[in-house]
Amino acid sequence: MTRYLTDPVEPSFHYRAESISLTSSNVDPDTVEQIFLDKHMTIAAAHISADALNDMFQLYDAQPWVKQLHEELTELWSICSSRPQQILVRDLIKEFCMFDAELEATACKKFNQQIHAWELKPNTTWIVAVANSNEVDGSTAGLQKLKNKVFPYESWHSRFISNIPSAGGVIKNGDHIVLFDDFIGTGKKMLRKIGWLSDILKERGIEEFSISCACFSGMEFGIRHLAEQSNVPVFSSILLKRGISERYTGDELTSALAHMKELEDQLAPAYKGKKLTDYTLGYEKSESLYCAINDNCPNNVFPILWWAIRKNNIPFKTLLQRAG
Amino acid sequence: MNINTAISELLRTILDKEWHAAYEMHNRFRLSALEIYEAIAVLQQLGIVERQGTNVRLSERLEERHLSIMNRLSKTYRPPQLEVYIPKPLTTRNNQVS
Repeated sequence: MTRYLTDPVEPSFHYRAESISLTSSNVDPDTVEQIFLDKHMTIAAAHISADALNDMFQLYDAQPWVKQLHEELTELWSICSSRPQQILVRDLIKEFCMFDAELEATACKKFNQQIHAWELKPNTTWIVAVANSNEVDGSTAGLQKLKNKVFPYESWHSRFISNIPSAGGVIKNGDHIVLFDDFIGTGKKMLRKIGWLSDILKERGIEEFSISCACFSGMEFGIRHLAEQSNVPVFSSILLKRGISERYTGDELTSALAHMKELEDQLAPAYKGKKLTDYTLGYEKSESLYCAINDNCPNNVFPILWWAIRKNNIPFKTLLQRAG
Repeated sequence: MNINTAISELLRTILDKEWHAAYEMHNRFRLSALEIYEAIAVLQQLGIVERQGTNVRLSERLEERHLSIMNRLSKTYRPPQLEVYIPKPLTTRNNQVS
């Protein structure tokens, strides 16, 4: 039989197919109507439990941004095989830090204050994004937002450099460098970037320079690790704790980790050449609950929120998206 | 999402001035959690309902303007999802109604 309607996405849980499209003019109205009534002709929401509805209400109150991700949220609930898993996911999302315009404005303001607290002057300071020369990333985007936030910005805006290789070519002896990334997870990336920039400068015979690191948001343990290993000042507007290990204790911690492990078992073991085992609880077990709004999700975040494929290659409409 | 339907069904349900669980709205009318939430939020903002957790009831302090708004909001609309569907006429030769 000719199919006149678009096939709905496999309903792993219960959300309704809202769009209907007729693709042929040569349609038997009765057949169409029957298919409509059987499969699509409903404005009714699929039935959910009272607990699930209660969870949704709590999340809409705590995290208004999830309201536009109703279907994604429903899929996330459907992947949970027990009530404690749903409670864990709900509580983690309630603690989630979505870096929105308001937080961004505050972070930019604090960054400006920190530059002045470090007593840096525009004629001897470079604010450098940690990007490679050929990539676009959060550090470059963040720098663009900071461009008119460091006062007086007419003096500062020309001291912003979008990547490390370019910075390596202009820094002189006696200069100060503020290495910037939008988010610091484990701190290891920033450590590598410090090493890389230092090597470039040393190759050019630049020996006298000082470095600071700054970010909008960072994991507390990562910032600490970075500061200890590099011995440079590090500034972050927002400090984040590990989502499970630094919030739960004792038996609660053990069971929360077990529930998260069970949830991760629902995901495909590999995706886009990456192994899930490398990202269990987030990259290097970062357990991050952070993303900037409309931005790429850091791999430090729990993969259950961004790993876009389930076991048996079933697509998974995740709450957050990550490219790369 | 069809919030108009959610609002009118919610208003009809809470007219008895009792507390009602949001889940009742879902169970009876198959409205989604978001539709119910948004409907309650709109009515709460207008001062028409009170909400405690997932329970809702008609406000005890209703004025004439509230009743006027309620009257307007109680009207139902054809959901946009149904616009693509043309129902069969009730009176056709096939179903023996002339």
